[in-house]
Formats: sequence, structure tokens, C-alpha cells
Amino acid sequence: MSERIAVVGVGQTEFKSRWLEISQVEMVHLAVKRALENAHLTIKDIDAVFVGNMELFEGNYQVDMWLTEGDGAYLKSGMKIQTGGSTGSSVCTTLFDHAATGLFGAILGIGYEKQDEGSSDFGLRLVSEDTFFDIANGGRGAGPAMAAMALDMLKRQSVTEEQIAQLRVQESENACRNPHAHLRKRLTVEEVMNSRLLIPPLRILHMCPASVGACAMIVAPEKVAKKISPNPAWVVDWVTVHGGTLPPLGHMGVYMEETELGPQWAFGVEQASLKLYKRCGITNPRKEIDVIEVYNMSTWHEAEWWERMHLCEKNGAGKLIKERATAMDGDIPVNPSGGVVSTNAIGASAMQRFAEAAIQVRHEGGERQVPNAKTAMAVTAGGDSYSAAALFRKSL
Amino acid sequence: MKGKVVRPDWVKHTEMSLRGLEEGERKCKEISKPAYYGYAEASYALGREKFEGEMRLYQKALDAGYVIVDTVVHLPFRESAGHRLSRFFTTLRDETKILALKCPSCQRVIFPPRPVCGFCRITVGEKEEDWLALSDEGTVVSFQVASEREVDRVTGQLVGQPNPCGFIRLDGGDEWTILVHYLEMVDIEKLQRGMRAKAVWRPREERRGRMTDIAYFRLI
Amino acid sequence: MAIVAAVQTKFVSSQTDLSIGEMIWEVVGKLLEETGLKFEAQGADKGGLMIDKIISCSEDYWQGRTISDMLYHMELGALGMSLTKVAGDGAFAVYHGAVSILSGKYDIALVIAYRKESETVRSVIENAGFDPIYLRPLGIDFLTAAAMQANRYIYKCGVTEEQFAEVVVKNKGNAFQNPYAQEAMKLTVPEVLHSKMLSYPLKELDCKPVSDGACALILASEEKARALTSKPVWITGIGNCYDAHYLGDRDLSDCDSLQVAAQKAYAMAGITDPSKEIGLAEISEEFSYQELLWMEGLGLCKRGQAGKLIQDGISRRDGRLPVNPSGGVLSGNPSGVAGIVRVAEAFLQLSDRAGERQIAKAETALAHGVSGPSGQSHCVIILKR
Repeated sequence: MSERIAVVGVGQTEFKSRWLEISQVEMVHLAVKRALENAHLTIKDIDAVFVGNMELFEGNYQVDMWLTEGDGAYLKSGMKIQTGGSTGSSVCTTLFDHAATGLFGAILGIGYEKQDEGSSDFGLRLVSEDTFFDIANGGRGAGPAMAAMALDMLKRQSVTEEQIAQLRVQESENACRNPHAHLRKRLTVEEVMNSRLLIPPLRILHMCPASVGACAMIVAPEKVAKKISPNPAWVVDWVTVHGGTLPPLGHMGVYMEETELGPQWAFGVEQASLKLYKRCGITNPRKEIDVIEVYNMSTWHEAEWWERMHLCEKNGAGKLIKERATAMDGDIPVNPSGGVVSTNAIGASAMQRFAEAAIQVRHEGGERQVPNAKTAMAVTAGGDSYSAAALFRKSL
Repeated sequence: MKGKVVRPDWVKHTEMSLRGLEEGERKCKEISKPAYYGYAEASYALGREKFEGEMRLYQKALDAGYVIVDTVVHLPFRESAGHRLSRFFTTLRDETKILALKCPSCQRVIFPPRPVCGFCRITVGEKEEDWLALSDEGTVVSFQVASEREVDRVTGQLVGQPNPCGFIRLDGGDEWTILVHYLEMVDIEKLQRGMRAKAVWRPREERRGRMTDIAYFRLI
Repeated sequence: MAIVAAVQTKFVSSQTDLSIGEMIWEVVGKLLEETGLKFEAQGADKGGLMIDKIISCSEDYWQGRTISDMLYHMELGALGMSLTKVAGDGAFAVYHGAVSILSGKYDIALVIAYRKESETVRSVIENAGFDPIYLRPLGIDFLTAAAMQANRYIYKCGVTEEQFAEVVVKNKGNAFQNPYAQEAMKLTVPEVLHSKMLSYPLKELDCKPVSDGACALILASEEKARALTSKPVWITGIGNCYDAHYLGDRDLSDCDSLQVAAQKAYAMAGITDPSKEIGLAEISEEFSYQELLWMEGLGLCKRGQAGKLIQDGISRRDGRLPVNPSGGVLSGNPSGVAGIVRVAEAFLQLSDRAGERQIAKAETALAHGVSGPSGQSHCVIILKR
């Protein structure tokens, strides 16, 4: 029991806004195929398959049953994971738990979203709210919470609007180097600052798209990883933390700096990051980690997460932007993949943070590779302040 | 192989949603504040654009010879409020009072009432002394104006409810006390975080033991 | 690794007095009371005995709500905690709990499943569980899929509807001694055979009733288990496995995935002849024929022999291999919760807490859960005193 484990294969499809000519099964199959190719394995080598999906998005109940048609789960172990608020990262932690038991050889996890089927708008906005209290908030979604968070960031001078625009440009530059990203257009500060205002100060170019695509990841315990992989990404540790939202706040919650848990989503990110640092003996994350992938559902969130992860002092995000510290050539590159603001296939996005971190320490990042990355961290965030974080190393 | 759009089931539903938005847009025309009206207009336009886009894509797929199988799921639910919320809602209806709970251990206010204090993991709400009444007045800590994504809880249809909604911290609670409810129709420019608001209750014969027993909060 | 405590609600056809949150807290609160445990997020307890992992089990569709567990994080004790939600049957959640402990990352896991079937329409949800292109448009649900399987089972193995009815008579009779069971009924085989035909050959009494309830248990690593109770029940084997989805791709009278899942569990537990070494089995039988078919898939008897086995009384409470002394799923468990109740019942049996339904001599018990249409995915847990 308690084996050391590694990511030995990653596969991603392309990500776009509609993919009408492919079914969910075929899309998942494509990601699985690519992950197997990347790992130099066949489906025969896989012992278990795990699927993450929010069933009300595409409207398929127990979709893991149908997906056995394309994900190779026939006569293999596995189950479906659906943790609110981040299914993709939950599939990863389930994968990691299973691999660490030593009971399995290589195992496979899948996160995907096919938003052109079903109505994830409906799935996300209406039904995630409480029956009795969310009469007014039902359908309004994350808007107020995100806007309030952004307004507070401006108020306490953590960032300026122009700095957010600069950061957005940086994110788009990164995305251009990622062949799997959805939005691959290099933006300018003017474009971002003049883009349509949604809820002040949020602008449409600050927000993530709705993407369609799949991501698959193969994990194995040490003895198997060493045999089958020339460059495993060792998963040093992983943690998850939940918040505790109260309806009628809904899972999107309200940004409340003044409550002891702080802004809704931030609680999880901060707790998970600090816990991970402590367990891995990291005292100066900015220096000791080479590259980080965070779950930036908007550009504002990326900046907020840096502070919550203690990469800088409180209200210091703007300084990091000014210094370009988190750019590819900065001292703490963040989201070389372009992050969620460039690609958001909900079920896949969280898994992609882990996958991209693994890609970095395996040196398979191609144009988006951070040179000499040895230690990478992935942090996700989601509804109800859920956060999962993991640390990857090139060698043990 | 060219196909003709044969009006899949989801079209009917989306058209009903658009009619709801149209209605909201019409209601907004009655408000003589141009800044507010602009929002409803934009919502309707976006909703219409989205729908037309989906129809175009559907036609495109048919023209390309793809098969798209559509399903509409109708799933009714009857959810029980349970002991504490039943008391909460009957009190709302009969006494126009908003109840909350207080954890006997950590003293945090638990709103809406639930069976446990999430911090202390102890049962709350079984003893009378756990219950308290909040004021029906409070502070607006955040708000949002109408968007095209309003959905009617009962029908699942998009509706264009034009009222802004507020996150109202009711007096008598603590930092965790927030009620989300509609605010009165005002010009968007008037809305500020930190405004005070008071509940406008429906007359007794219209109150049913639901959150809508409060019609909206007016700014004071 | 062992189970140290288990709590269930009394299952009822419609729990209208409690909200889902109150139902969850009923079992979680009782477990905390019984074990004296606190959650890791509350600060370390003396002796380091604290729950550090929560596995919840529920499915969004049944609540009509995305990330449905979010609403109950306070009741689940999840504030500041590590929680994973399994979407499927409760036995799989127990499996995940076991894995989390075996991973070495966690020491004590709270596993909980809950569902209120009465609040919505089962067949609509189950229909949505079939692939949207070929099977769903046929309008089938799990009942009709089960009926197909029952027909195939009759055809292939010569089991009879009378033998199915024996399962109902046995299990609903067993329920009298189970204070948590929803429906205890004193029945005869003709009464079952004459109940209303729902989907040939399955009649009303062949099918489990609509049910509401919750069940939770505490799993702990060996060291912690011994510190927490004098009667831990050890989990010695776990296994689960998927079959194909399209019903036509399977011979529905076979249960390939169950055999693989069982083999995995037996191998881990060092069991070579389950028909002799298993002293007691709690099997998820949403439909009567499933108890027989799953027994064969589990290797508790030879293929095609389960019908004879039940008629010989082998699986009665006083028989050589008692099956479902609790009354089983037929006596009323919600789907999704059924599997964890089987594990809880096996735990109560092996820790001598099963009251009037106690089977005295069992050393090793088997608990089984199933998910998906016609038993597409199975989970087997082996427990030992």
C-alpha cells in the first residue's frame, strides 16, 4: 500500500465551440487513443477507467455506462465521479488514490464536455441552485460573485483594470503556443479594455469560453511506471478541500471578504495550496516551483489565485503583472497552456490543469514548454469553494 | 443529402423562452428609464441570436448529412422542505417573520435553517432556544440586473424577469446571513452596494409559504 | 482495513417529513455520536482519531440539480474536508473509501449514500441512462431492461417464475426481523405470481418498491480501527467491473462483469471456493430474478443452479448459505443506496449487532452492489470477522 505514482500518458482532443459531427463516445475515444499513444500502451494494459461528468449538462444519466463503448472500460474496473464543484480534478484525485494502492497497473481517467449536446447553460445555472431560496438567483449564475470579487480587487488595489487587460494578453499569448487551446488569438490591451462590458468591471474578454473537447490521463504506480515510461511525471502529493456554501448563496456564492472564509472560491484554493506546501515541505512556492497551472475561469481569478496561493503578498498581484513574473520567461510561469480562460470544456478543464502540469515536467510541452521544468503544481477551483491541488516532479 | 429542419422538440421550448423574454422586454419599455431598458433589450437580442445560431447549426448539420437525435426530458420533482424549513415557511406565511437558527456552541447564525452547524457538526433546531427571528430589513451587499439567462423554476423556461436581484444581509443575523431576492425596479444607475432595503410582503391571501411571499425588497 | 460503525435510516416509501439534508444528518450525526469521531477540519483530536476523507454517493439526476452534493456539504461534514462524490451505487462508494485508505493517504473515511426516489419519476431518469442514439428512443428503462434479462435467463438456464417468486417470499419474510426494512410481507408463491404484471415476466411483487433513505459507515485503517472498536469487521477483498452497454452486445443471462468483479475480490481475500467459504451474502436484488442470477455470477453455486438452490432452502436464514437475511433490496432500498446497505448489513452481522436477524455462525460475508441497466457494472466486497 501507499505506492509512489506517476502520470505516464496524457491525451487531449482539440477544443472548439461545437463539434456536431462527433458523438460523445467518439470524442472520448479520441482522447483515450491519444493518451495510450502518448504512453506507448494499448487498452489491454489499462486496468481501470474513471469518468467524470455532470449528468445534467448533456442530460445523460450514468453516462459512464454508455461511454464504455469508446473508453475501453469493457471488463475493466472503474466508476463515475461527480464531485461538486470540480469533477475533472476529482477524477484525478480518484485516479491518484487508486494508483497509490498498488492494486492496479496503469489506470485511465477521462474528463470531457460536449456542450453542444444538451444544455449546460441549464445544467449549470438553474438546477445547481436550491429549490426553496434561489428564486431570484436561479439563472443568474456566477456573475454577481465574480463581479463583486473583481470590484474588491480594484478597491484594495490588488490590480488595475489595465493590468487585468495585460494579463489577459499574456494568457492569450500562451494559448497561441498550445495546439489544444480553444481561443488561440493573440489579443491586445486595447481590445480587452474595449470589449463588451458584462457586469462591471467584468468584460467579455475576461471570461472563459464554452468549449467542447476531452482530456484523458493515464497514471501508474512506481513499479509499473518505471517499466513502461521513459519520462513519468511523479505525483508527489495531492489534496482536496471543500468549502461549505449555504443556499441561497448557491455554489457561486457571494464574494465576502469579511466572512472568516473569505471570498467563496478562494477559501478552497488557499487551503488546498497551503496544505500541499506543508505536506511537501515547500516554504517559498515562488522559488521552489518551476511552473503552475491554475483554474482561471476569468483573468481576475488568475490574479486572485496568485495571492491565495501566496505567490506574492496580499494585494500584490498587480506587481506580479507589472514584473511579468508569471509570463513564460518570468520567474514563476503560470498557465503556459493558456488556462481555463482560453479553453473551458467544463469536465475537462480541471483535469487539464493536472495534465498540463504533468506535461511540463515530462518536457512534452512543445512550444509551451517551460525550459527545465522540474517541479510543477496544479490547482483547481470550482463551485462551493472546492479546490484540488497536486505537485509533480520530474524525478523523485 | 439535404434535409429540411423538421422543428425538433427543443425548438418549441426555446421559442417559449423567447416569448418570455419578449414579455420582459415589453415590461421594461414601460419603465421610462433608458439605462435600465437597455439591459432587457440586450437580453432579448442575445437570446434571439443564440436561438437563431442553434437553428442555423442544426440546419448545417442536416445539410452535411449528419444525424442528430434530439430528446427532451421532462422530470417533475416534489421536494420536501423538512422540519426546519417547514417551520420557516409557515412562519413566513402566517407571521411575515423570517426565522434563522443559532448554533448553541459557536453562536453563528445559520440561515436558512438547516439541521446542523457546519462548523461544529452538532444538531441545531431541535430546541426552541436555537431559533431566532431576523429583521425583514437589511443591507444590499451585491446585486445583478436582468440577463437572458433567467429561468423559471417551475417550467424550466427562460423568462425575462426584469427586476434586479440583490444579495441582502438581513439585520439580526451575522456575516453569513444573506438572502437573495428581487429588488424593486429602479434605474440601474441608482443601484449601489451598501444600500438599505426592506421586504415588501404580499397580502395574506397571496402568501403560500414560499420565498415569493415576499414580493421584492424596496430600497429605503 | 475495517468497518467500525454503520448507520441507516428506516427506509420508507416517502420521507416527506425530512428534507434530504435532515435525512443525511440523521445518519452522519448518529455515526459521530456512536464513534465519538470528529472531522480533520475541526482540528486534530487527541489520539489523532479523526475523519479525514468523505465519500458521498448520490446522482444529480435524482435531485434535479447539478453538483447536488454542494447543497449538503454542511450536513455531510464537508466544510474544509476532502470529499469525493461517487455517482453510482453505494457499494462503489464503499470501494472508493477502501481505496482511499489503502492508498495510504487517509486513515478514516466516512462513506454515505442517500436518495429520495419518491420525489421524482424513476423511469424517466433510468431511460436517460441509455445511450441517446439507439436505446433511449425505444423508451426502455431499467425495469424493461431487467425484464429482458429475466426472459433470457429463463430461456438459457431453465429457471422459473416460481423460483423468482421464492426469492420474494424469502426476502420480504426476512424483513420482519429487520427494523430498518421498509416492507415486510408474509407472502406465498402464488400471491407473488398473481401480482400485477409490470413487464413480462416481472410482476409488481418481483420488483423493489420506491424507497427513500440513507446509509453511512465509517472505514478505518487497521491501526485506527483497533483504536475505535473492539469489533472491527475487516474488508479483505474488493472488486468491481464494467460490462458492455448495448444490451444486444451481451448475453443477458451471463454476468461477465460480475464474475470478473467477484474474482478480483476473492483473489484479494484469498477465497478459492466461495460456495463453501462465504458464510453469508447480502446481494443487491432490485428484481427477484437478480438474486438468483447474481448468485451464479458470484460463484456461490454453479451456473443454472440458483433456482434449485433457493427451492432447497439453502439461502434461507436457517440454510447453509443465508442470502439477504436483511430482506434485501426487494424489501425497500433506494437504488444508489442499496449497495452500501448490503455492506452495512454484512457489517452488522459480522459484529453481532444484527439483532433478531443475526446469523450466528458466519465468519466471512459477501456484500454486493450493482449499477447500470441489467447489471452492467458490479461491485463485490468481502468482509471477515
